[in-house]
Amino acid sequence: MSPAAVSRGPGVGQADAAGGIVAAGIEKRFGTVQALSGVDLTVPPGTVLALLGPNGAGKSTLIRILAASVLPDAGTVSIGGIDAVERPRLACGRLGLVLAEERSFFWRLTGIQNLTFFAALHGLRRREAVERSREVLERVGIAPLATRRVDRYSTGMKAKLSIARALLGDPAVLLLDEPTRSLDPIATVDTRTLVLELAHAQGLAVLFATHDLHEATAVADHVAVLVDGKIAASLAGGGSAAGLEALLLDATGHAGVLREMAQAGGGSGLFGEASGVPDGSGAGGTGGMSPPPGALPPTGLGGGLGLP
Amino acid sequence: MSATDDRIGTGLPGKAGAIPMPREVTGARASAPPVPADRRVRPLGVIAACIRRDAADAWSYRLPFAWRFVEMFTALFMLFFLSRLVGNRIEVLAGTTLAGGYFAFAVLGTALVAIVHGAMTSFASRLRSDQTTGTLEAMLSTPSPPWLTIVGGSSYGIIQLLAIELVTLGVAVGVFRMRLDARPLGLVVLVVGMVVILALFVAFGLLVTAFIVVFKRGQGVATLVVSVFSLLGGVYYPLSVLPPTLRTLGEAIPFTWAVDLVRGSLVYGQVPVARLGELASVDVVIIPIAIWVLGKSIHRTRRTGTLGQY
Repeated sequence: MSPAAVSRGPGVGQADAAGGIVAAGIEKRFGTVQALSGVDLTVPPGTVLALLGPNGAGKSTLIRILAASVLPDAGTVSIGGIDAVERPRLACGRLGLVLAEERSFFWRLTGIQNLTFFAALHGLRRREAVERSREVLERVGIAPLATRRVDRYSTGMKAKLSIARALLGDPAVLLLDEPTRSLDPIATVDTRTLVLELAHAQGLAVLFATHDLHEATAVADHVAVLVDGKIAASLAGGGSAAGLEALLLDATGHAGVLREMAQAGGGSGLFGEASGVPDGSGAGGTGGMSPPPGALPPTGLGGGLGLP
Repeated sequence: MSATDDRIGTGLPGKAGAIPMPREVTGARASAPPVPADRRVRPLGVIAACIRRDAADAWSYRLPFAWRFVEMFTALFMLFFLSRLVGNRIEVLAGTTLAGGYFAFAVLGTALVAIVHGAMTSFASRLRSDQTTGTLEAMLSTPSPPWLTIVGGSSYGIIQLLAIELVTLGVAVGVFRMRLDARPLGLVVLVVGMVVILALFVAFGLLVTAFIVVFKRGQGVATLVVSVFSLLGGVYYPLSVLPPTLRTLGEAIPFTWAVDLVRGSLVYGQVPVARLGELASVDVVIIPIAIWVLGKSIHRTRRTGTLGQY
């Protein structure tokens, strides 16, 4: 049975996910393009789901549907127990959205002026808004920058400010769309640490879209691979990036290409690791993640992510 | 692998062949945070926050403030000298008497055009700005309804414009000796009338915004409409100088009624209640239509996924 077919049924974790994210049968078409097709997704409180997939797979569309800014053609979405299709504004009160777009702030205002404004959009009165803004700035570790204008923030600071903004409404759900895309390694680790803490200590349900397989393995309790608008694969987190790489390549139909390239030139794996791509024998450093069956021989590409 | 391996995630079992998850992920490690009490978004609170935001933003660009005042003085000087040039001749040509003189006639007409133009274009400008800077999507992910963030986002611009035009009138009276003839009751009608006039042209602005939300272009529509108002509404000359057809058209547009109300209250010593009633009756029709159309346009773009696009 294909994963897509299996996904039509309710997720096993769904009962646990009532306060988190529950999406079922999401369909979305833009003109002639089927952006999402029968997507089911559940993220219970206190867990992180990493969403992987090549460009154009539908990750951003899915996040926008979960964030209630785009309506699905079919399917249901529950955010923190609220129907996000029927009651989008109420659902927005339960979620925090972190965008990769660092220009989503008013740059000539200070950090706290920005947050106070967004807090008002969450229904907070002015004094509450200021207090809450200070609280979330403290929470993400940039309280000393509160009165600095955003155009003088570094990219890493803006990423933290973005997470702070997402926390203003005391959300049950956090949606992150490639939040570390343009961050340096230190800021990336900071962001991941923060996300993990929010999920595991604060109990937020987190959906984390990324292209970075190392990041996915670092943060995720579970990984889903979206390809051509469908959940092509799904597995528990905790494994290696190489194992995830194999899964992703197989899910995107690039395993054959990889094999041919390996036969032609050899190499050291997409991540520069020795034989990170599984051979089906269990060897190859896939860690806790399992390769798809009969997928790939020991091989390597000699560096470079090479995803479509 | 059984489906029960997938306790978290897509509701899928792992892809066939995947080994069971290596670590305990079968449940939340911490309980979910308490769901926040349903917080109601307060429209006035949102509008006030938008005004504070835009005031702080405008204050960070101090130079434009100075420019606006230079612009105001330039316009007043121009109208002042123009009034000296045309003087009584325009009254002869138009076959009518302009109480307060041509200067007052033109100053009040142009002030109202500026206010109407601002009311009609400020929403679209703000929407465009939020789309291009990326702030729109962030605002749309909050519990505030989109129409409120659009309306709130243009409030500061409209208030600023009203303040500038008020100062302009003050300078016209204090420096250029513009003659006013206003009765207390007329001033009351003027204040109420300005609220009604603003609501009317804000509604037109929302219709323009709805057009832009769907078609992504159309800022020129508002400017074109305001140009037509200037042509037919008696801003620079009395309607009596127009050919009969254009005059009839001019008399039928609400902008002309608004100009009449302002001039009547301030320089003709009138209490233009009839004009106020006409404008208010248009408000009653146009405002619900504008809100409905804007709501529909936003809903449409939520379906097409293009609300943040420009």
